[in-house]
This record gives sequence, C-alpha cells and structure tokens, in this order.
Amino acid sequence: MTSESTVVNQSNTGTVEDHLERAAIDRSTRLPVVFFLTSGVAWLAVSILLGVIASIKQHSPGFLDWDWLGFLNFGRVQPAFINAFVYGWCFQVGIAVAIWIMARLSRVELKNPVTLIVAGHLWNLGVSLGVLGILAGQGYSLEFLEFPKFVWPLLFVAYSAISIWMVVMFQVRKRSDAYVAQWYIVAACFWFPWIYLTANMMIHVLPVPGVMKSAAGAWYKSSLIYLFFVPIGLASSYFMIPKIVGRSIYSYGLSMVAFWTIAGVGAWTGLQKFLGGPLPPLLTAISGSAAILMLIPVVAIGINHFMTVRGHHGLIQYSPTLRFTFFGAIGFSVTCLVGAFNAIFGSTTSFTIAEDGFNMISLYFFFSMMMFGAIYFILPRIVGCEWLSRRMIQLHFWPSAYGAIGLGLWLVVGGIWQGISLEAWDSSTISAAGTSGSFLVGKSFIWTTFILFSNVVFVLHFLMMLFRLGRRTHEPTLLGHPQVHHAGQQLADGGAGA
Amino acid sequence: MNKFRVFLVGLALTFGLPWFFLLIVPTLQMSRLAPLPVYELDENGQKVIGEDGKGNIVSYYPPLSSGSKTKGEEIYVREGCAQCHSQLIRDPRVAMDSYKREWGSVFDSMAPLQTRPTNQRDYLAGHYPVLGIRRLGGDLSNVAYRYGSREQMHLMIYDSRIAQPSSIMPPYRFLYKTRKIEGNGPSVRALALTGDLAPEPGYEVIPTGDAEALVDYLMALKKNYTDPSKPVVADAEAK
Repeated sequence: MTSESTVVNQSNTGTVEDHLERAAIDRSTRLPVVFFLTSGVAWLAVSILLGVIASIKQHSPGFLDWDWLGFLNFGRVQPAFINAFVYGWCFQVGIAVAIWIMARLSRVELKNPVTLIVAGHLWNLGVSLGVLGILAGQGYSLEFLEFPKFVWPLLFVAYSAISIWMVVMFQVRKRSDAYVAQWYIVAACFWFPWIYLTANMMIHVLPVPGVMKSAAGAWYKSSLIYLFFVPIGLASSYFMIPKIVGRSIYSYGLSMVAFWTIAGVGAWTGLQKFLGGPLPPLLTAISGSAAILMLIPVVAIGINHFMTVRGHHGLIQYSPTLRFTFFGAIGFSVTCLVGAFNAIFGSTTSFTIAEDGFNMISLYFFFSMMMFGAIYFILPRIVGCEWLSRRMIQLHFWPSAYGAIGLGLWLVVGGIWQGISLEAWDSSTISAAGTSGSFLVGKSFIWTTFILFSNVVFVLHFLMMLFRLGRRTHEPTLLGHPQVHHAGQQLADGGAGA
Repeated sequence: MNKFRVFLVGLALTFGLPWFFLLIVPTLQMSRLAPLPVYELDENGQKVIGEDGKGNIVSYYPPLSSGSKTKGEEIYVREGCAQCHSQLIRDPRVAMDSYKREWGSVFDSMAPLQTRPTNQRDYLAGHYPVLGIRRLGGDLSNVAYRYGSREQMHLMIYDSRIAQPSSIMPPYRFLYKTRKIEGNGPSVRALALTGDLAPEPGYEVIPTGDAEALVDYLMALKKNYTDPSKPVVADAEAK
C-alpha cells in the first residue's frame, strides 16, 4: 500500500471476464449483504418512529401520557431511539456496505457466508434485547452505551466475528496493493472492537472511579463517530466517487494525509465534554484541541473529492449514488466543523442540545446519506433489478437533505442559545429550558415531516426492490437524462454488470 | 515484515497512544482515590477518626451511598434522569455553574451562597456514572438544598407541572400507587394532590418503595461537606 497504483482506479469499461467476475462476486455476497441491509432498514424504520416519540416527548411530556405508557417517558425512549438508530441502522448498513466493497475491491468471491449470517443474527438479538431492556427499565446512564449490562458481550462477539472475516477477505485479495477504501474498512474493523471492549470493561467490569466511567463514555461516543462511522462512510465515498465519475482518486498523497490524521487524532477526542469539570484539565484541553485538528482531514478529503469529480459535477444531477455521496461528503465537513466549534465554545455548548446536533449531523447528514448513496448503487447489483422510480429517489433525497441540514443547524443554534441562557447566573433553569424548548419544537417538526416522510419513501422503495418489483432492465435509474458532453464516459450508476 | 503488518502496527500505535494516555493513565492515577475518614475532636481537643466502638469508621468524605440510597440511584439511572440532568458543577473559571442560585440554595438557609465545583472524590459516593448527558433540567449536585421537604420532592416527581406549570419534566406517576383509604384515615405519606390530579374521594396516592428510594437518594445530594482537596482552608475555618 505504498505505491501510486494503490489509488482506486476501477475502470467501468472492461472485458467480458471482468463483468462476469464482478457478477460472480455480487452473487456470492448476496445473502449477507441483503441480510444486513434488510435488518438495518427495519431498524431504521423502528428508530425513526421511536425518534418521533422521543422528539415530541422532549418538549411535550403530555404526549402519549397514560399511566401504563410510563416506559415511553423521555428518559427511556430517547436512549431506546438513539441506540436503535446507532446499533440497529448505522452499524448494520455500514457492515453491509463494508462487506460488499471489501469483496469487490479484493476481487474475491465470498465463500462461506454462514459466519456472517450467524454473527448478524447475534447482533440483531443483542440490539433487540438492548432496546427492549432500555424500555423495560434496565438502561444505563451514558450516551450510546445505554444498553443493559448483559448486551455488550453479544455485540462484541458478533462484531469481532465480522471483522475477522473482513480482514481474512482483505488478506486473500487478488492484488497485492490495497485501495484507499480498504484501508478505511480494515482500520474500522481493527479499532471498533478495541474501543468497545475498553469502554465496556471500564464501565461494567473493572472497579473504575465514577468520573473515569463518565470519561470513558464521552470518549467512546466520540471515538465511535471519528473512528468507526467516519472510516466506513469515507470508504464508501472513496469507492463510489471514482467508480461513478470513471477516473481514479485525484491525489494519493492527500488520501494518505487524511487517513493518518484521522487515525492519529480521532481517539484523542471526546473528553472536551467535561471542560472545567472534575477531570484533569490537561485531558479536556487535549481532547478539545484534537477535535479542532479534525479540520485537517476535512481540507485534504475535500480537495481530493472535489478534484476527482472536477469537470463532471453535472453527474450529481443524474446519478442518485453520486448525489447522496456528494451530500454525505459535505456532511463530513460539517461534522468536523461542528465538532471543532463545540470544542472551541465548549463551556457554552457542553451539555446542551448542540451536542445532539453534532450527533445528528454525524449520524444522518454524513453517515446515513453516504450509506443511502451506497445502497442505491449496491442493491440493484445484488437483487438483479433496477430501482423502480426516479420520483421516489428524489422524494427521498430532497426531504432528507433539507431535514439533515435543518436538524443539525437548528440544534446547534438552539444549543448555543440554551448554553448562553444557562450561563446567565441570575436567570432560572426553567427559562433556559424554555429557550431550548422552542428549538425542540422545531426539531420535532423536522423529524415528523422531512425525516419521517423521506424515510417512509425509502423503506417502501427498498421493500419493492427486495421483492424484485424493480424495473427489469440494464439501464440504471437516473435522475434525468445525461447531456451529450458526458457521453465520452459511461455512467456507471446501476446496470448489473458495472 | 510485510506491508500489512506495518499497516496494523501503524493503526495500533496511532490508536494506542491516546488510549493509553487519555484513559489508562488517568484511571490508574484516580484508582488511588479513596473516601477519607471524617475526623472528630475527642475530649482532649485532639483530632481522632470517628469510630463506632467496633473499629468501623463512622463517616466518610464523601458520605457513602448505601441501602435505599443505592436503590434510588439505580432508579435514577434506569429512568434515564441523566438524559436531562447533570450532577456536575464546573470550575468558575470556565462556567458560571456555581453561581446559579437555583442550583444551590432555595429553601435551605444552611446552603452556601456559592456552590463549590465538584471534584473527583465527590463521585466516589455513588455506584454509577451520573455526570449527565445534557442539561434540559437543572443540575442536581445540590438538589437537596432546593426542597424544603420530601413531600415537595415527591410532588415534583409525581408531576412537575404542579409546582412549575411550564416544566417539561415527564411525570413519573407510575412510581406511585392509588389505593383506598383504610380505616384509620389517610396515610401520612399520601401526596397532597389538588385539582385535576386529586384522586377520587375515599382514595389516596402514596409513593411506592421505588419512589421513596429515589427521594432518599435525591435528598442526600448536597455537597455540604468540605472539599477534601482543600484541607488547610477547611481546618482554618473550623477554628
């Protein structure tokens, strides 16, 4: 992985053997990829509904307030929602996309999907028990780690099996060089079990002081985003963008800089949440600085992606995959910008809804949009028919895009107001809650309109594909008709052979 | 060494460094923290550690949680109170937490005018990490100063809109039960509910064991002991 040729350079045109080989690989990955995608999308539906309840409950506790529905109080339904979203949807769709990209780039047919399927069932069992456990009153008090104590070994074993499988796939690859997308996937496979094991050992097993448990929780959340979701999301963009534009990544050097900066900086972040708190001040300062340093990969990746697409930006208009991926790449920049902003103004934004804004930007604006793009590319090749309706893709994209921008920025702005109003030492807490309350109403509006609507459309479209109700054709479903000046290069989006 | 191994070593080093210095080292440092015994003055005016005659130390900094207080902390965690409430007073050089009057004294005349920042030792009292996730509600480090009686706190938990109509705190009515008033008249523990919330005549609303434990836990949340990290100042004030 040190030579110029490691840059992704998969030509869309190829010999008949190439097409046959790709089709064979896609066929071999069908079972696990469809399994993880389907269960991921099912969890997406569940978590969006839980998110609607949590969002409304946050400002109007009178909503759905009957005595027997006490388990739907905000304190239980919010962790149920965020954990279903993270471990149900984000993780499973990330694993599905990673498996497929890994198999394609390694040019190896997937021989034994049983391990993956068993691990997948174990993972789903863990997530289901976890979400039900939270609602039943077994939850915990750290963000993204609210699952009951008995769940983490299940998830850890399931994930380890998947990542070992992924690394084996990488090791038997046909070419000795590795693609950038593969670096990111191997790195994510390598880091996540370490992150998860550390956090859970410190919280549930070892006799660690309470302050360090909270610190481990904050570190876990940040590391999960910067060292799992960011690598998987970027792996997808490093695969999809060159694939669709039909040229190799602009600069190998910049990819290298971005990768090793994320690797070197990502795990230092997280503790800035407790700025001024009981932790040693040096640690919070380092973490805050690291969050600001995450702007370096933003610049490197931004230049790299932009220059790769340069001259072909018109394709964003036609290719659903490129459109979602490009939007997700913007989401990556916004994630790191908001992360840096929250670190710089930490004394104001810590413990406010600005942190929820960061979560939603990183998980939806960046990661989910990236994954939607990948699904629009992968699913037709796996199930053998094309997306039914251009209109449905557009109805998925626009509300999702407005929802992602709106939700993220609305919560960050609301968090700043809330923080300022909490800082006012002579004003009451209830007035600060009132300040954030009006922003929370806006958040509910965005959830119940844009996000809910767009994802209902997506889930329906996905189900149609699953039941092979798509179009039987080799023409990909595009969002318009490419102009003549793009005719020089083949549009790779869709088409079961590409 | 092949390239893949070099790559893995790179991943391990870039990740292992922050893992070690951000989590492992501070954990080892803090694992030396232990609750401090409280000194008392004996008849000769000498400082001694308070014992109960069997060699057990009577009280600690911070006061350790036990029995129903621990049960209450469990309920605090499982109901997700930490989703909206923090237990963390930040340093006044960074944030104004300790100046917020509401987060310290309201009813209790013994409450300090300015609450002190919480320190690492304070969190040795409980069994769960309760620093909190967000602050839609107030900080609870000193919540016990804010309530004149257990009854008031029960009413707050039962339905916070009794005291504060614009409150967005969820009601926890399922921690209470409605029962028929027995022969001797209403129980002393019955909540003084009025208006729409009042139970039917002949019935009363009383807290369950869970609600009592939660209130036990919350009523113990006050940092009324001296900051052990500043022993010199504390001793000077004592004399």
